[in-house]
Amino acid sequence: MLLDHLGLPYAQEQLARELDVRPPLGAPASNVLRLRSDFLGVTFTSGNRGDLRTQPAQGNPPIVFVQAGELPHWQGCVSQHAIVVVGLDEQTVQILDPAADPSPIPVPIGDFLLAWSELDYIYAVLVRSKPR
Amino acid sequence: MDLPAQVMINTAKMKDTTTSFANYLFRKHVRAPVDERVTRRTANRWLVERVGNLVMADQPLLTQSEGQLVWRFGAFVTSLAHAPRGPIGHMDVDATTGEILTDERAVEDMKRRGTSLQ
Repeated sequence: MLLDHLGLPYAQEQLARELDVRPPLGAPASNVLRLRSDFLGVTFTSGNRGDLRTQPAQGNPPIVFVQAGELPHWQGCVSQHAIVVVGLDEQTVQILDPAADPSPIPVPIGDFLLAWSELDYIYAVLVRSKPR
Repeated sequence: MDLPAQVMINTAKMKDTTTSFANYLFRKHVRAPVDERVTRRTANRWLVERVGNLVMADQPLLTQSEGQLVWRFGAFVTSLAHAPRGPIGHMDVDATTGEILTDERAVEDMKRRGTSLQ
């Protein structure tokens, strides 16, 4: 989804290979750093609310690792999950959830922060490098 | 002298009861310097970063390992479609310093057990 947005389409199988996806475990989240190239900068780190405000504003929506059960639309479902944050204000976070509705989903900030805190506030940002 | 089978069974049962009671007293009276909730976040991060982004730490048990006070977490494979499965292994976090005590060999073991769940 994000790579398409950045104009770097990957075939699903190629992406799965590069990230070392192993069903049903998924892929080690830090493997996102393997996507670094001359065309793509990748950051994988812990952050805070401020980071989530600035990154989408710069056109780099972050991938955020969360405990899904804390999000209202997955209430009661105990699962690790990854979503994309496309906007944030004082009350609400707008997320894209690849396992749910394709349009942005508004999540109350408190629920979102609780879901994110369970994974120690880790997130990744992919940035398309400028042509030299 | 050989003990009758019934006596041997009762001895084993008594040993289990004593161990359980000792564990109960341990959990009731020993307080870990590093908070359980904080440690669980650390454990979740470690598992998601190294084993798989769908792997989760469950509620930990405060216990002792080689004389160290540790939080011990089971590692479970989660999914949006079904309940967590496992454990596929466990990881220990030093309950005094917060240091992760589980090594990379355990990561490979967890990956092996996790992929065999399919």
